[in-house]
Amino acid sequence: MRAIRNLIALTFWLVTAEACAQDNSPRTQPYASIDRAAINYSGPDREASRDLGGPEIKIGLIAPLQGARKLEGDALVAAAQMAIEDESASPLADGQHLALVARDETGLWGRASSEIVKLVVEDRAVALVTSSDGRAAHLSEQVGNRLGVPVVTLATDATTTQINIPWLFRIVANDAVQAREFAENIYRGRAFRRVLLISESDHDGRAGAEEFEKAAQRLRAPAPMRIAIALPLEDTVPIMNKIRVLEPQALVLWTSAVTATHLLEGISGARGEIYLCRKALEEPFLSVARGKRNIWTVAPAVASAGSERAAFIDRFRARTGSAPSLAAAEVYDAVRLIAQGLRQSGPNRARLRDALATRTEYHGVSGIIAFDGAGNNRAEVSLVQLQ
Amino acid sequence: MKRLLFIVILLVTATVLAAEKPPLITRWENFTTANGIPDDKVFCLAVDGPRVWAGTEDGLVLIENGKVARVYGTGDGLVHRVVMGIAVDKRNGDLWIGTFGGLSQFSGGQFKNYTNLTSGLLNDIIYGVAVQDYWVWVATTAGISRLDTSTGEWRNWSEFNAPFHEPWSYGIAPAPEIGKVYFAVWGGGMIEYDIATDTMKPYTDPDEEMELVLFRNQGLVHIIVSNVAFNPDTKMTWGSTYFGLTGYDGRNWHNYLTKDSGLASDFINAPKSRGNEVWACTDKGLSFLDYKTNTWVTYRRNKQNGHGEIEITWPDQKKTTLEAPTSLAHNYILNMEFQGKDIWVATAKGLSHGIREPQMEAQLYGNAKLDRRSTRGRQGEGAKVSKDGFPKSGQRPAGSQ
Repeated sequence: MRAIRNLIALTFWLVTAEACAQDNSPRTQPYASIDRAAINYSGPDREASRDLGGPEIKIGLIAPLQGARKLEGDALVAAAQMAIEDESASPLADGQHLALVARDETGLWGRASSEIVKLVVEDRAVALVTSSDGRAAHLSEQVGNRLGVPVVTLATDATTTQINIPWLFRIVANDAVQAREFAENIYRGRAFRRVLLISESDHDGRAGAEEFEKAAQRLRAPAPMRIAIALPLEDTVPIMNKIRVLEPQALVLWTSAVTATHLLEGISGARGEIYLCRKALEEPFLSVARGKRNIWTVAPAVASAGSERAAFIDRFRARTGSAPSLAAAEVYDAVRLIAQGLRQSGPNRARLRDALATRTEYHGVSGIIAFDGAGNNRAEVSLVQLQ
Repeated sequence: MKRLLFIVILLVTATVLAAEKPPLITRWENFTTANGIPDDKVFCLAVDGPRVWAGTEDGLVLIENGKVARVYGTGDGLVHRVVMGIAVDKRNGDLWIGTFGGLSQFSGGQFKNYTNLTSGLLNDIIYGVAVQDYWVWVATTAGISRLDTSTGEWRNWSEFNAPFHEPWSYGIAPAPEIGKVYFAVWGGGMIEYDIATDTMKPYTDPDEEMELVLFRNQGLVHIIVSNVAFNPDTKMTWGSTYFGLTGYDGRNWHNYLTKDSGLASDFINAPKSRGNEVWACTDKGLSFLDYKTNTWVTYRRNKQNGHGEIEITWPDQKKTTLEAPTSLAHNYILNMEFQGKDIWVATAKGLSHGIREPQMEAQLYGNAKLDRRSTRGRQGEGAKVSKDGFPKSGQRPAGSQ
């Protein structure tokens, strides 16, 4: 009996010792990782013979100009045009002036890609600005990578800057940053346990939801419950029923503004906090969410030039009849950032890329923009309550 | 007896070491807008016997007898000016041209065009095209299309009917020797199509992390695959990524990064392979791997003097640098093709014809007084060459400027 006790004790000691040894062992280092600081364009085309000629230097905008997101697209065009007009006060070198050319990103089967190619080849845009749509950002990046065109994007898909490509610049917080902020607040700040993640089945929904699940995993939190919505959204009743049954303390929405609007209308009166991805911060969601105090999102640190921001809001409202969304402010900043880069680089895509890559800090109406070597905006963001 | 044994060992070793010397491209002939190609940015190539076709940002060009024979643009009937892929149908000489505005078939001196609106083509933005018997495979930004030229029937694969994590297809490599076709997919890894079973199987990045590689030979090195090539001799499939080179032998994966190989850069636009040769078209030069000996050769243009730099990385990672009088048109390499022992290289600043010259090769190796035993013994000093690659005596290879 004593022998058995000793054996059990020895086994326990061995197992404990083994566990301790494992705890003390160094963590496995990955074989390789991308050095963000080393990302660079080593190709040609910086010479003057590759400069874009003509009286107009065009900035291309790829945005939703039809369909359910038309309001968003119209606001982006209006904001971009405001930026062009503001920059026109002082012409570029050689008397060239800036112009905006906008093309539609909607349509099935990657039709946006043809519009992107037209912007680059036919319109000869010096740079592209893309909306919050992650697919459009990827398609632009693929074309830009082959033809050598800088792309400034509002899309939050983190993967566009995780691939060693030197042409893409993101001026918004990516999905990974948003997911981290949400998860910190949900699991650490509030110690919620019943968390429901609702995402769309499209590219952006999948990518965002995966980032949130990774963020939860890093905090060693239980995996969130998850509902993936097939698009187009036809019947919200089964989803509402699930939400009522599950009674989540936190509802994380990685959807478009249209889907988020349907969900918010369907669950009005329900308790719990709502965490909203950046892409959904558009009309019609903003109107429906007005007055609610339980909606959280991630926003950039506000730049010091508060008066410029206020002036932008007033002018945008006077021009369009409605207040600008955060995306409208961001596209305004994107165009002005490109314009300032052009003043440094001249009308040349490769040199403009260099100018954007080496830009230290830009204080825009949407916040501070400061790119790291991979094109991520490394400016601070924080979780904010939607008001 | 001991002395005799020593001499035999020495001779055998010397023979083996001599055999390790990789073959070299010693002369480059370049084509730019200055000598007739329509645009300096060359995306793709196809070799049809003595004829070389090149796709540029502004049309299609035919090289014959060492000069530009003809340029084709949209005015001639080409569907779009930006040419991203070319394939030759060896059965009838037809040319299939993938562009940023659809697919063109060049047959009997006439272009016939296929677009998304006029045919079953999935999307007009094409990154690659390949011919396999009577099938024409097309890599589009919305997935894979296949035209059966015997029936005129189109068939498409995308995320809606096949295991594509993302549909953005960048390259195609038929592998008829093993009954497969491989696709390079941006965000979707490498996809294997089995002809007999008519099924597709994806190979993705097993660590599921975009910015790191967890283990060296973990599987596909990165989920964004920029192009793919099949080696009919070794039956290996090679994929290029912007995070290294990846090879698949049907069972194991073999990954190469700059950190422990002779690769010029981890940013690779395309691979090519035959025999023991594996080539990587990078943004910082053209790299060659002798897969059998694990010896690397990287070709670069010296930006200061325009000469060719040949960097040999031996299996023990020591390097020898030689200098040739001519060089690639540019170090940003987009694609390449074989033509006998020669190679053709598409760069972002011109088209390059790489030529092997055994005499020049011997001279370069001879001038460098290459001695692998001394190289091993004296790290840094290498093969007794100066920084510019020439012997310290100052003797330069014939023909150098």
